[in-house]
Amino acid sequence: MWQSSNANPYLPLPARVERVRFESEDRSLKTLWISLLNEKDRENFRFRPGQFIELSVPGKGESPFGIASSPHEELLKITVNKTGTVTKAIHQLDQGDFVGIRGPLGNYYPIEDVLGANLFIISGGFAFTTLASFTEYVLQDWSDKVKEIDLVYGARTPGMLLYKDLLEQWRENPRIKVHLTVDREFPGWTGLVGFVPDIVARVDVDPVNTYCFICGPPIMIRLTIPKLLEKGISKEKIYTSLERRMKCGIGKCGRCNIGPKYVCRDGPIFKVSELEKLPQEY
Amino acid sequence: MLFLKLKRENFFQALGEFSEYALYVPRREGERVLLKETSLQDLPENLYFERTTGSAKEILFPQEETLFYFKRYEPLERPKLEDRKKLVLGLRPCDAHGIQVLEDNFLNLEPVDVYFKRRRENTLLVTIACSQFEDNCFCDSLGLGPDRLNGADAIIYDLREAVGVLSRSAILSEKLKGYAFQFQEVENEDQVEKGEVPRRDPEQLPILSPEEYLALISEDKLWEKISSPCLGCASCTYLCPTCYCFDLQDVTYGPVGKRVRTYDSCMFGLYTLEASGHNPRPTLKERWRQRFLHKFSYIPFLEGILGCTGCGRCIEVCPAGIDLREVIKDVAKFKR
Amino acid sequence: MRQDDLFLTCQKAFQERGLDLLLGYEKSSSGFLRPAVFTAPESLERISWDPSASLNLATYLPRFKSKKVGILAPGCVSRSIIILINEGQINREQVTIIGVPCRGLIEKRKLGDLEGVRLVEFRDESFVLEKENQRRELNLEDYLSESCLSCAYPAPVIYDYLIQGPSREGSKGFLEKRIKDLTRLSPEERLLYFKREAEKCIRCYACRQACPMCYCESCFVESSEPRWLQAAPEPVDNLIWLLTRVYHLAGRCVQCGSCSRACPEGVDLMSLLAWANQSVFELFQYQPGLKIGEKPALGEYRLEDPDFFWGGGQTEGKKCCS
Repeated sequence: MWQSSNANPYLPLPARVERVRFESEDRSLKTLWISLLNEKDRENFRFRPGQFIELSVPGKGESPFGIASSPHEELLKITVNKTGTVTKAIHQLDQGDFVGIRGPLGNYYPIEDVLGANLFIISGGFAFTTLASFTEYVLQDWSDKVKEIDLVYGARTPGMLLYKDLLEQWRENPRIKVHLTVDREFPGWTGLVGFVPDIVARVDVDPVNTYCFICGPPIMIRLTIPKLLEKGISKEKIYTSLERRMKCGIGKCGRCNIGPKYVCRDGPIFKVSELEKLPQEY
Repeated sequence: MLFLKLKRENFFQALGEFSEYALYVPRREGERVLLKETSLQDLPENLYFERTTGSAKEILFPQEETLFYFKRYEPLERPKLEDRKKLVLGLRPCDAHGIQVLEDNFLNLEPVDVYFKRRRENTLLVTIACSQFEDNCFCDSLGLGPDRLNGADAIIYDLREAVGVLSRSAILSEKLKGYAFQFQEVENEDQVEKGEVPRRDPEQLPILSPEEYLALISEDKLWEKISSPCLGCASCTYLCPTCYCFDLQDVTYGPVGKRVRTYDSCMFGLYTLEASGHNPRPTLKERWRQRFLHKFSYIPFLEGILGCTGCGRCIEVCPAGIDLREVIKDVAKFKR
Repeated sequence: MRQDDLFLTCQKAFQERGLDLLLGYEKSSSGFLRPAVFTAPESLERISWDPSASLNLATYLPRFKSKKVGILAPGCVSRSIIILINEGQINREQVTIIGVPCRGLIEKRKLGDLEGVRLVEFRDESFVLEKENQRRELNLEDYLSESCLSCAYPAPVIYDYLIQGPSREGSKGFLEKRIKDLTRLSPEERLLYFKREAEKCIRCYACRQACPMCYCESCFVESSEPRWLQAAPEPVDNLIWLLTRVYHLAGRCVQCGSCSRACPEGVDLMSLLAWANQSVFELFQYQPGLKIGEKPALGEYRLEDPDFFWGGGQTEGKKCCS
């Protein structure tokens, strides 16, 4: 998975913040668009949706973030939630600021394995990043090779939904059925109301020929998977993207493992059938 | 591999050929035994060295390693990798087994760790077969032994007036050939003359297969019982030859700084704590399960060798007196 | 002290008090004691107590906040329990203290190479080790932990049950000899001494985990905002770790020596702790862990506290710095 013009996998590639935008009205979620400074790095940086990068703010540290832009876009897009030292520093970055990037890391959503089937994409909160990339990618490149595409995406409030511009575009797109939901009634909200697992239960999908892709907070994943199984969807056909505290991102520091699998190297995308055999540490 | 026999004086003369290598041997300093640079004249004639307090992994994988430097607002500076050549003499076979596990993690699994690689390339590791057992050591209970080459470049056997050197390093073999009175190519390390290696009647510990261990992950009562005396310090992990978990931290001094790699321990609560506050291993029960299964299930799965060397340091050091040999037996009792 | 006394009393305590578990010691394969958690009265046949114990069992108590816990306690452990009660970490009702007599605890490091060694038995003033069928009898006093040699309260100061047996004579309690040696050095020499000790530290935090008084859910070394110490064992950071821990324990430490015995590198942890405790005693006439209901000296202000800055309080005969 590691492709870089850098022989040293710990050394970040120099990059620059090109654009920033706050996603939520409470300014806890910030989206950044980043470009790699060296031409050679730009050429070599090829990623697939599902992969992540380790973003360095020199002096503060490094954190892993799922790539939210599709592979065709010029700039790398990530969304950052302000919770700790590194993310606080990232939130203070602005256009022109210098950062470091290591990546692309991890494995990716295997679109080639699900051709000819329906796709059921489920996400919640600000974990939507890699699935946003995947959705764009499928609509751009694989639209004629898959059947029905359903997207369920929920957040606590309408303001916390990411990439509202993309969501609008997709709502107009006949290739995809978008089901947006918020946890509770909100003034001005005309979409669905309810938690993601409950909305998932209400969406009609063909249980035999549908592949599911879930990414969200652990509790959401834990409650959604049973709903999918109830529909008759096999564990082999449910992919989930896991999150763990990561440091090296390349499977060396021993931290993010679940059993013999490293979330940063063998994941973060796993099939539910794979996870069953591993310790329930997520 | 080349097996050479040298007269003792000739062996010491041969060591003089390695003048461009800094010589490191275990030396006692008060309460501890550490790997220290020494000169050829200060080597003991009987080539007996005490075992280091911590494992010898420090020489390839130090507790603190600077990965790179940075200045604010400027692109990152490539670090200068460790170029000093070192000849480490006096390791034990258990240290060498630990090095093998570290090599598998840092070198054999992509991507390659360039820091470890440079150190490994510049270091010659020479083990000396044990002449006595150490407090609580149990390598022979695991099917390993006090006379194995493992991950070292060479191992030295005490053949009374002579020393036997089993070498798989081209550099060592070439330089030693000129001083040996006998040498031959060998395929298998058991074919060579090893002199008197200490033997005892070790209790064979029941080691299960990686899959059998993995099947025990939900046996909560087992992990509860094992972890109940554990204090959650890092003594065992920091002294263990096969533990390689590390942390990355940025350290700044005003406008300049560096990213440092340091040891970390899966026994600490913070180890897997996520920014959201969720911790997939919230109690010592899960952390002990991780520690044990990492050594006896996951490393064998991924690397084909046991993640424990049987050195016994963890047993010696544990303030709560947890004995890994008893843990191995307790776990095996739960086998389905 | 008789082993059957211990066994019967613990069994009685288990049943009379309805305990969920009992913290004690059991013999390891080499004959030395190690901590053990007994969850059923039947398992108590393994319980044992002798000078080869090492860890202060009170360090386990905050883990069992909601349970009824029994605990073997010599003097230092009983004082640690009182401090934990005074600082609101456990309730007096939930803990059953089984007082045991204490002749001191041996410092394993003083025994040298223990390969193949088995501890056979303890006698009145000595103990017997066996290796390869050869036995050696050693004088107990020569191998005791330094903290035990100057211990002020060897016998338990509080208990619900008491096992009969001889305890050491109490001493003054502040590692007098060691402190005297250090005071003779010049300040520069003293700093060099502690810097050298700090270099040995590998930041494993065994000392912190073995100490009953270090129960903070989030220790200051784990703080990332602000980050007080870096994770790497730089000598300066190690020194700050050791010194800050001394300050956090001043007036709370009972000098059980658990930290010092737990340290895998043999760092001198006790000298500064003893010094700090001695200062608290001189300034406030306070020794921790003797009375339930007392507030810690550095956690309470009294009018008579000596004030060297503004003047006031009882500064007569006291010094600000020693």
